[in-house]
Amino acid sequence: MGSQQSLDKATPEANVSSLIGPTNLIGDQDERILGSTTNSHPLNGTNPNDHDQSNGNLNDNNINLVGNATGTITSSPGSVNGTSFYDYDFNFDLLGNRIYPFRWIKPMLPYMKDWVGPLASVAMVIGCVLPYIPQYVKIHKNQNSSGFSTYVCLTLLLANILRVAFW
Amino acid sequence: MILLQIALLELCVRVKYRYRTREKSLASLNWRHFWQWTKLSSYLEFLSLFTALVAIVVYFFIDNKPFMDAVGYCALLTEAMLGLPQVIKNCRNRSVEGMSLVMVLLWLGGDIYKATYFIINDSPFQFWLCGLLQITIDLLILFQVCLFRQNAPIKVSSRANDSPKEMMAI
Repeated sequence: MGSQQSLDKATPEANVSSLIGPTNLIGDQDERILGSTTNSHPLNGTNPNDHDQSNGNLNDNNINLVGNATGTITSSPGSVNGTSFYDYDFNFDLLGNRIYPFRWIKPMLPYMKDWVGPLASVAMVIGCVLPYIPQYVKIHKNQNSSGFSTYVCLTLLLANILRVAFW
Repeated sequence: MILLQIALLELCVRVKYRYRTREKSLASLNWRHFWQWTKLSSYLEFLSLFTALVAIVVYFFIDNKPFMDAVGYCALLTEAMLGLPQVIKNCRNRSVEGMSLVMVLLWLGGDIYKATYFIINDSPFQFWLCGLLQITIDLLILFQVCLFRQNAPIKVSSRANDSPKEMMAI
């Protein structure tokens, strides 16, 4: 099933529609969508340790690192010789393909790309606002604000002003 | 967010100083009354002065990357010190009444989420260190809730419970 899928390189939709099998964990379909070349797929019958067809560089040179959510850019995510545990980027497998923590993430990516970012921002704003509403209600109901320190408001306001200035 | 804090501040000022003991404002330039002004306008004036100062400094140093990083880290550290005034106030009052427990629990949840987000995303160590600091402070407040629970058996529900000492406390 996986080898039949990888032979079909023309339509991204067919690649996205495959929801079963370990091929979902390998990000070569991402590179196809992003317009870059891919290394040979292991299920094509090519031994991943066989470097005859590659240029000797285990890293795919055309990986679009914009999708790298870790913020760290490693020059050789697949290198295994002479590197330590701390140099291995677990967000990439040995072929240099992007892997995701859960299997269902990768097929959902084209559908999720538009709204996950703004949703995270909205959730961030709501999450900052939410804790202070019960406190507001409590002070308003009891008409007594001696339990809540207003220096907390000071700290928050200064932190937010500095953060706005930072950006 | 800033608006919410200003609204909360306005409520606190209105509730605390409704008996009008003494007028304290920024114009009197008395640093002992620093965040204990009786008028909301003093707080807003201070905030606009601070914003103007920060804007001027940032305008001149916008191209200086270490300085802007330092500003970012200052913002992070200030936000990490969020619960500390609450801890100090709980210590002074020897009670946690009037402080909403839901607020502290939401703080704890939000900070755990933020710290794990920074750890998972391999952010520089300052981010998750401040997250851990914030979690520690939240746990300290919860510890104070357990500690002072026997000091607050009745709910504060009327103005008659306001003592002059409470009115002058921060």
